[in-house]
Amino acid sequence: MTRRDLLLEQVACGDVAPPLDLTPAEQQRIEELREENSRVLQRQPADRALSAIRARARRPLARRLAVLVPAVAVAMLLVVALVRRGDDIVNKGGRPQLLIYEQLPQGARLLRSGDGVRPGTKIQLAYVANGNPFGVIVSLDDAGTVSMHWPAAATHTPRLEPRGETRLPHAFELDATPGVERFFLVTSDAPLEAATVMSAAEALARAASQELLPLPASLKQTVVLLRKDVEQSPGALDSDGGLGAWGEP
Amino acid sequence: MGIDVEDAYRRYAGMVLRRCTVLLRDEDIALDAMQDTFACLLRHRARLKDRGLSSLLFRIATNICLNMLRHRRRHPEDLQPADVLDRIAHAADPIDGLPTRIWWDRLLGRVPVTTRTLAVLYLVDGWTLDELAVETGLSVGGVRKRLAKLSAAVRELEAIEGGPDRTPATGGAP
Repeated sequence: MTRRDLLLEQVACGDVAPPLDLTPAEQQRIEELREENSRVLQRQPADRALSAIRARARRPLARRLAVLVPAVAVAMLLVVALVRRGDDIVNKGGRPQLLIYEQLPQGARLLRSGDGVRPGTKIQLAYVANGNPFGVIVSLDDAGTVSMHWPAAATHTPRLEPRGETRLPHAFELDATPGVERFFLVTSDAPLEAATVMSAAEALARAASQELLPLPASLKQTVVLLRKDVEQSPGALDSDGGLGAWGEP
Repeated sequence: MGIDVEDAYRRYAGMVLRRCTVLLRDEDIALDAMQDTFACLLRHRARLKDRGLSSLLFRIATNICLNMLRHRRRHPEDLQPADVLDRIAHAADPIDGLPTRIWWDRLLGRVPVTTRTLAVLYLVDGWTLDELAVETGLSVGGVRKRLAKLSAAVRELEAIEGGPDRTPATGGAP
């Protein structure tokens, strides 16, 4: 970007007045920049972006970058990533997806974040890595119990299938602990220690915090919440396919 | 009175994202860099002047992208053929971390312009020494001396000290 290009950006932002020697092509470019600026704000609305920005501002950049070195992975737990949840599903950076299915007699039904489920509901987890080769899935309930769903053991390398939707090899039943169960998919394009994610989840549980896991910002976190303290699933009421599962009319 | 970061985001997010995307060549990572740029602004807003904000954000974004490039290179899977941007990102900067420099920047209420950022503007973006001098408030000679300190790591800068006002940009961001 030449100095002149930056000048056009500044004109488009309203920082400086258009120079007298503006060419028609440059005037056209300014209009394009203004339109593109509007599109960026539509894709990255200020209210949502600022939540993430405030969280990042609480940690010095150098420290966040430094903790990515495996040798200082333990220091990750000291970094407090207070990212406020701006939406039901929080995506930072990349676009991996964590999918939670409720297994029903007539098939699986995709649950949405915030859906209510009954204790004993059979759950199938799946993910879409979107090119991220490593990822860990953990969950945390209101009682502070942390469960690791992927990989099978903390000592395993948490490799993901990079493309398409992949279901975990096993389903499980939700226990009867009331409250919210939070499922975290933490993905990375660099090798990732499952134990580090588990430790972060345990730290979050000890702090009784509703924030994201205290991990470096470069690790993408996707969160899906399920409420376990309801007799009936709002998600089911929204879905014709789910009505029969609860025996409702 | 500090800077209104929300207003700054609404006004400059597009410009910052474009800058980060050009340097990092990855939109997802560029989004991270954009957020880091505004996070930096948020951290320093109380002591920064709400003047020339677009230039300031442009420089912060450039510096943050360089830091990200520096980090990414640590991972073998991210290795790419080295270009001038990579060489700048990994060049040791002998003066940017000096306490006196940091103290001076704080006193003046400004975000430091790192030598690596100057090198990107000069070699990748094609700014002239005069333009760099105006932008940073340094003299042309001062800019030249700063850039010369990177010449051991960035061969495109070998001729900068006492050399011509411009050396041709080689490689770098598309």
